[in-house]
Amino acid sequence: MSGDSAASAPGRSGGRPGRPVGRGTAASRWRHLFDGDLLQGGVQGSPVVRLVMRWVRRPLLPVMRLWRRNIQLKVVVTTLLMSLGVVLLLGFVVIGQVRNGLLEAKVKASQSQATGGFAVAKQQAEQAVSVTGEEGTAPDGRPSQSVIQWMSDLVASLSSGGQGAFDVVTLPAGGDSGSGRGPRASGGVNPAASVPAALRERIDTGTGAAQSYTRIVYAEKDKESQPALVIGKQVNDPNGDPYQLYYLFPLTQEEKSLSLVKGTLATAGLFVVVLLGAIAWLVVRQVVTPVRMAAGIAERLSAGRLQERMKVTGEDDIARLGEAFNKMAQNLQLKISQLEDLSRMQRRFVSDVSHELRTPLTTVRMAADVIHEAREDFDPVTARSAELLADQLDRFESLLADLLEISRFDAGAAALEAEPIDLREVVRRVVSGAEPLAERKGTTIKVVGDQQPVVAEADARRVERVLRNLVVNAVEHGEGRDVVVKLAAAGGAVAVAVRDYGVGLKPGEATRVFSRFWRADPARARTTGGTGLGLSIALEDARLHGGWLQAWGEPGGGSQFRLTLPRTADEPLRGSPIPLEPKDSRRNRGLDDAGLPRGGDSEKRATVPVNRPGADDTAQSARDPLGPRPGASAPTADPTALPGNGARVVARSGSTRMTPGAAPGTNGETDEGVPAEADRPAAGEGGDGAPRGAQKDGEATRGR
Amino acid sequence: MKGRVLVVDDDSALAEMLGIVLRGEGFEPSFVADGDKALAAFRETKPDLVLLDLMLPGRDGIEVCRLIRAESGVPIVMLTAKSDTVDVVVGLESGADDYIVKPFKPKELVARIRARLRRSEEPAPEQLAIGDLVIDVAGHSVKRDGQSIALTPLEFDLLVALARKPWQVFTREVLLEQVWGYRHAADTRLVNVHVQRLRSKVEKDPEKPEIVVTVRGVGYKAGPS
Amino acid sequence: MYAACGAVLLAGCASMPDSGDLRGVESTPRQDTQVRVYAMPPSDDATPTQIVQGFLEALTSDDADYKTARQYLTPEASKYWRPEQSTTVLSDGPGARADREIREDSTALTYTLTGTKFATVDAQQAYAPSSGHYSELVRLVKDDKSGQWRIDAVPQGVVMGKSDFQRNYTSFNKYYFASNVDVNGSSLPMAVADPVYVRRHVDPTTRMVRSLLSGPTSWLDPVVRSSFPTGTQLRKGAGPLTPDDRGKLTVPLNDRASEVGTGRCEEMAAQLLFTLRDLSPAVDEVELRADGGQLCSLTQDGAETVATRGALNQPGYLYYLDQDHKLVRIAAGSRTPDPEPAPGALGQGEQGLRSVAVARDERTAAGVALNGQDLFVSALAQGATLGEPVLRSQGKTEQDRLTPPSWDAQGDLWVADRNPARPGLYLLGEGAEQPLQVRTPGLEGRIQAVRVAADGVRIALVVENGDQRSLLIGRIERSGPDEAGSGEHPTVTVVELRSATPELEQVTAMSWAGDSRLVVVGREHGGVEQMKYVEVDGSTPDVPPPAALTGVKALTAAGDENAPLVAYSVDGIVRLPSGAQWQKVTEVTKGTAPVYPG
Repeated sequence: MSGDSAASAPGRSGGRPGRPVGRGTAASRWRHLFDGDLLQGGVQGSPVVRLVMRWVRRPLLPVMRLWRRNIQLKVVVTTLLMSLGVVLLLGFVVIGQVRNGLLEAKVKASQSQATGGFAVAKQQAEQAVSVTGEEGTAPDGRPSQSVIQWMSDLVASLSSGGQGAFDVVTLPAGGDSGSGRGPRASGGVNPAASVPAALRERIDTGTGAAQSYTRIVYAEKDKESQPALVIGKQVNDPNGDPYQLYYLFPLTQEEKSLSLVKGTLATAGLFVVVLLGAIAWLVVRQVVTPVRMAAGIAERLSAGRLQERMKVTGEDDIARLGEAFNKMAQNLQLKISQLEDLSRMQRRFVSDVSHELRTPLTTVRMAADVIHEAREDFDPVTARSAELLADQLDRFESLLADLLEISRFDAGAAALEAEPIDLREVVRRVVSGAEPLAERKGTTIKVVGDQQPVVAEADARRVERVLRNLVVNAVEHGEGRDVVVKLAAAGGAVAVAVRDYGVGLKPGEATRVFSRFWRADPARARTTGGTGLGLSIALEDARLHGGWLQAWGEPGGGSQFRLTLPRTADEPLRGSPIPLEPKDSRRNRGLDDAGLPRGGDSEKRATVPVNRPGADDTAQSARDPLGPRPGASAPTADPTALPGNGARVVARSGSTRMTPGAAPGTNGETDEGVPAEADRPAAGEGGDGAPRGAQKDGEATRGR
Repeated sequence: MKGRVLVVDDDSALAEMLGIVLRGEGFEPSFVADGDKALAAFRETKPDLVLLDLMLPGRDGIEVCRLIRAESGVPIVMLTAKSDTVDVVVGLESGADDYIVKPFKPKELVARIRARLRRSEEPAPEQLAIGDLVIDVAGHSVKRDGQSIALTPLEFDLLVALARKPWQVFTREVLLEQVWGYRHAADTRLVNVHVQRLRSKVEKDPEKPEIVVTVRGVGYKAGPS
Repeated sequence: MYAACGAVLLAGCASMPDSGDLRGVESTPRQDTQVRVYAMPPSDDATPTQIVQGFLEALTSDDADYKTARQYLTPEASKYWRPEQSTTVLSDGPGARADREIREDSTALTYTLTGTKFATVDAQQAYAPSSGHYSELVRLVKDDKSGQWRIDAVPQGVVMGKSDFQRNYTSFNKYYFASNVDVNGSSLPMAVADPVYVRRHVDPTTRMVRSLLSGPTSWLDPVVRSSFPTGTQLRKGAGPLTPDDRGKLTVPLNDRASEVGTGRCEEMAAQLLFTLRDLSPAVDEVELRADGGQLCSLTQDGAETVATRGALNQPGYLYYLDQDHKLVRIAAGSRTPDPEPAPGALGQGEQGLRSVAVARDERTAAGVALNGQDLFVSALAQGATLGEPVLRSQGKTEQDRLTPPSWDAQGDLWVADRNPARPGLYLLGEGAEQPLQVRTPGLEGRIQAVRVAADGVRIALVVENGDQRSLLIGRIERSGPDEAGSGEHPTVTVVELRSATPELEQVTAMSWAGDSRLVVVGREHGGVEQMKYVEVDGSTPDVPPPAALTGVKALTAAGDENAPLVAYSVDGIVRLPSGAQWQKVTEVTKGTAPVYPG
């Protein structure tokens, strides 16, 4: 590779060269770009975090992909979750209701039981009073004599009525043992721990009965405590001293019922959830299967098998979808065949037109030639007329040829006949063909890089036409200076660059030179030949090969056109062996003057990460790692040049570029000959990243 | 020098103009405007060369070309307005030796005609071998195992050009110049099509050519003898 | 088809079943509804009355060592107070009355605890019915420093009401071996029940074992022996005894027991097993340990091969006299069999009988002739002859002649002569020897009925004294002929007769119904005839009384609790299967004087 490809590194994004030239899809490139930027930016300092994130994400990725791709899974999971939620909600509501219902019944029964108990206690106290009253003749005569035993008997009798359905507890009023009566409890209940303090206080202060929920604690340690309803009231003993009487109703049965309901609900809920999931799966499957079939058929349709149709059974929505789909396919097929017919007709028309036009033109041409041959015999006016006639016939002919060629491209009728050719041969032929013109112009055409064979699968006729166009243009606009034709091959691509040192291109012209009938200076008279279609045809030829034709130029610094072709016909291009901007551009030289070091070999540079995030050229070089171009820092000559646009055109005064005389192949149309870039990225690069947006505008549209 | 040229063209103006030019160059043109009548005229006039327009009323040029080629190896130059590859290839495959795209200059036409006529005029006593073929240049015959193989003069010239320098690889451009007499390489399809036709006649298995071997990226050469 | 099956299945599931397979019902243990009293320590600034009441209440609590009760006492009083010494049971709980008004400046106060005595439990935990007025003084003082009232003087022991006593105490039998009884035809020592009372909720197992080790109560002591060497105690520091998961109770003993041999040890274990048999959780095996090593180990089944007790003796037949006054019998287990005549002379009807008794081995029977004058003894074997009467009463009327006889475990026959002129209790050795008059010191009145306990140590007598017929339990003491006594004849004495049913005035029938239990028919003062169980110590056992039956003239129960109670009432011979009502034994034949062997 020549030295100029070792142009200075500045402007290259350091992060990029390290990136492998992936064959990934646009999306993956996006991600890569994004990752790269991320890498450059915030997370740059913490590779550990990145590693961890990757490590965490990796096993999740297949799941997430499945989630994204599988609507059946989505629907089933959503159904499961939602039904689970509904079942849970329902369960809570039902359990709450059942609990309330059970409690209500229990509370009512308990209240009546307790109320009866309180009445009995009161009655017994009164009876005891009356009995002691009767026995008032006893020596002591004190009513207090039997309270201890009386109360124990009372508790025993009250609790014996319950047969274990409830327990009875007495507690001294006032919360102390002042009255001398200790707590009594039936059923082994620990009275102090089982009766809530709040209830005791309430009973102390009020005369009515009060109830509360509590947990019965048993005196025996191995007996488990259980929830209970406790109803208490302050009652008087035979002495008229108050004490607290409590009924404790264990809620064991209610709890059992509740847990039965819970268990039932849980089982039923589980069944419902599973069932709903299964139903959702089935239903979605019924919908998804035809959808997947439609997707498959749509894919086949898009692959060109237009006769593919969906199988439609029944009359449901899916069937309607299928019918609509089939109708769509039908219409598509119709339209496509119509378009094909149109295209065929167009081609036919072009062919016919060319024939119908050419036949009379041939006659005219021959006649004009005969006249031209005999012009010496005419008077000067007539002779000059004959000359003009012949000249303009030439021009007319080439215009017609180019028009037809373009229309062939437009109609998609151009066919590539690729076979392995040595580009050196083509270049040699083109150069020798342009020699006469060059001599006239005083230009020397140098060929560089022809030591090695430069072989590529290409259509020699078209390549020759392109190169002839470029070389003739270069010679014509070279203002007598040298024209350098450079060949190179690397990494699946071959390139031919034609460099001139003429007036160059103005900014923006690099993207416009390929326009049809485009002229650098519209005000200029069309006095010379040239159809204005040469570069357009060249661009189409390059595109037909899957190659690129790009232009670079700077005002006064000349221009360079580069044709890049894939080494094998089918392979997409990923880069060019020759940098678009030559190393001897003014700007590069300016940089050199400024003392910036020149980079080494391009391959070397490609692996040296030089982090220059501000570089305008990042995307270009990113797309173009094999053929690294000279570092393109901000243009020195023209600040208005689009950043990121590899085709930089420097304003020039140029007005001297019209050169009559045509190259043999294309009749040497002297287009404005403006160097331009028409990057034709490989198909996969169409979606390149935002940083390239501007450049894309300049280049990719040209490639359409 | 023979100079009978049969011009098959329906455009009377062009035919007349061709007649003017050809006569000016010393040829004896005869004309026929209808494809149906072309074969009869060919048989009648026995021209040294046929200028054949591809688009004809009645039988079209392709058909006429094929019919003539079936009877004779006389050089056929097609006049075509269709420079599309398909048209040209179809024409060449139907037996035309050369083609010229309208509009052409009279000199160009004359040069082509002369080139075709000259080729068929120059016999040189020479015996060549290529592969298992024996070529008698003077006798204008190609034989394999004594069996004669019928070739058109152009195909014969092509084979001879290759056989004369079996060591050399001929690019298409060189062949075009040597066989067709073109100065500037115009259309290498001409070479491709005629190599295919030659192969179909001389190769045992045209899919695996042994006589005319393709050198990838360069051109053709003669197979080992 | 499947749908139909499913529908049927669903219908089956969706409605309550009205048919299905049979299944046994496991009885769920009834929940313990025992009322417990939780003792409370005295509150600050409690009044003297509250102190007294709190103290009395604390005595009825489950407080293990009366720790809470002691908090009501001054330290000095606490030091001298021995709650274990006795338990006084009052019929209606103790009343407390201040002797004078409480004044602000009082520093000492006296309360009188009053009530009606019902029973006492002594330091040996032996129960004895009691009566009379209870009146004890309790003195309170006000502590100088704290200003709190405390009890300064308190009667020894504890006092409580009857229902509190029943709630807090439980009766159980400790078993010793009869020292002077040789069980007929068996070398097994006869176990004698010795009922005592322990506190129900305070580690009863350990207390029972301790009580057993401490020896029999003094009333029974003269006639029983304990296999435990004297001074045997639980090893010091032995914690509460509880059987392990397999019902095995390990009893560590002190050094005194370390020397005993296996036979003796097994007797000790049998004593323990008999004692603990009603305990819950059940003790199936006892392991005795002493000196860190195992002495022996005995299971419940094994115990019955080491020793026997009355309740283990299952009667084969129920005997009674049919309308022809001859002895017939029906198998004890069957429900309504036809009676068969007892083999031997008594079953032949040669001699009409008035009452009868069958020896416990059911080989011999004794019968009193219709006129009540003659007592015959005959073997219960085919071809046995009646022979001459072995005893003849000289009473003038039938009511003044012989009582129904009773056999003891040794095979001796007891009978009393109701002749007012010569009342007496006679013992016929082996049923055939010369009648021996049994001495009954301290007996007042005429013996109307005799029943000897299966263990041969106790005798129950119905004694008519004036217009009262009361049930007395006496201890049988025998002194061999070799000992100092009445020359060549052995002396048999019934001593320390005491009333088992002080409240019953008219006891009409009674029978032993277990090792230490009797079933009695009698009438309280001013009451109606009732049937109830009593313990030999006079307490009422914690079992429901039998269903009421009127006009009971005779009653018999077997030691085996499963055998139904059989009575002769106005409805004829009726029996009371457990858990059912009285029902007639036979539909056709009338009969009298039903007896189980004994």
